Amino acid sequence: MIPFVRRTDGVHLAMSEGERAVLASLTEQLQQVLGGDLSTDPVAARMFPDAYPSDTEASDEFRRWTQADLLTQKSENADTVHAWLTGAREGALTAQDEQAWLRCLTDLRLTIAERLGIVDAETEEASYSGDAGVGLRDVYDWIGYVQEHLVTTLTAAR
Amino acid sequence: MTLTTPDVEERTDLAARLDVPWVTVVWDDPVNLMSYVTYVFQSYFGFSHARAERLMRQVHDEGRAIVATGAREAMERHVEAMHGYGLQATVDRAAGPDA
Repeated sequence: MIPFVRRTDGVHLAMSEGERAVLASLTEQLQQVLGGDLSTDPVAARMFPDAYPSDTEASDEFRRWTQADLLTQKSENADTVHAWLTGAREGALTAQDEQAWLRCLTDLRLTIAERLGIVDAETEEASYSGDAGVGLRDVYDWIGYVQEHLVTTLTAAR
Repeated sequence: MTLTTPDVEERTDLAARLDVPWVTVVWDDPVNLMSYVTYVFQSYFGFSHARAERLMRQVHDEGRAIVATGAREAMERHVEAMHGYGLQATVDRAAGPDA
């Protein structure tokens, strides 16, 4: 189904029950990742990359200043998206909801890409046939489609 | 009584430091969609669609693009915002004579 639809009062969630359930489950897993020990999770390097690639000290300093806030944002985004998927929220997305959706879908893709070992075009191609890729790669592509659709819906002439 | 005015050398250093521009660099990554990257450049930096798309293309084709130039603190704020969007962004000194 089309994931989102624009009505007169704003953008509405239009996913099927099944799609909502899949995405809700993935969002719960993301919430666990965000609430877990990120110091041992390689996905942290994608969510909180080095701000100074050739300066470890400056990168660590930057992370000390920014990571807690970014992590809070990411958790709140995931909570918002989860509320929409489980029916706790309904109607038209607010501007803040739109941002939460866009960013949470990105965090989901960053996390799944890490699990699939996607680091460049070659590994992206290879993940179609890898052991971990069966199913998960389809989910990764589907979330990409959902995000693409949301961006298009938000930016299309009204 | 001695005035606590910095000496000339210190003031020169400060002026020099403030003068050195820094840049915000966004790097290509295999995860983020082209449409999303364009959207982020438009909505966060307020770029026109054409400019945002040009920068996105540069990221995609050349592996990186400079999306902002200015004081270090401002560039760090931009990079933090880009990380909030899930983009791979870094702070760097503006190109020097050896670049």
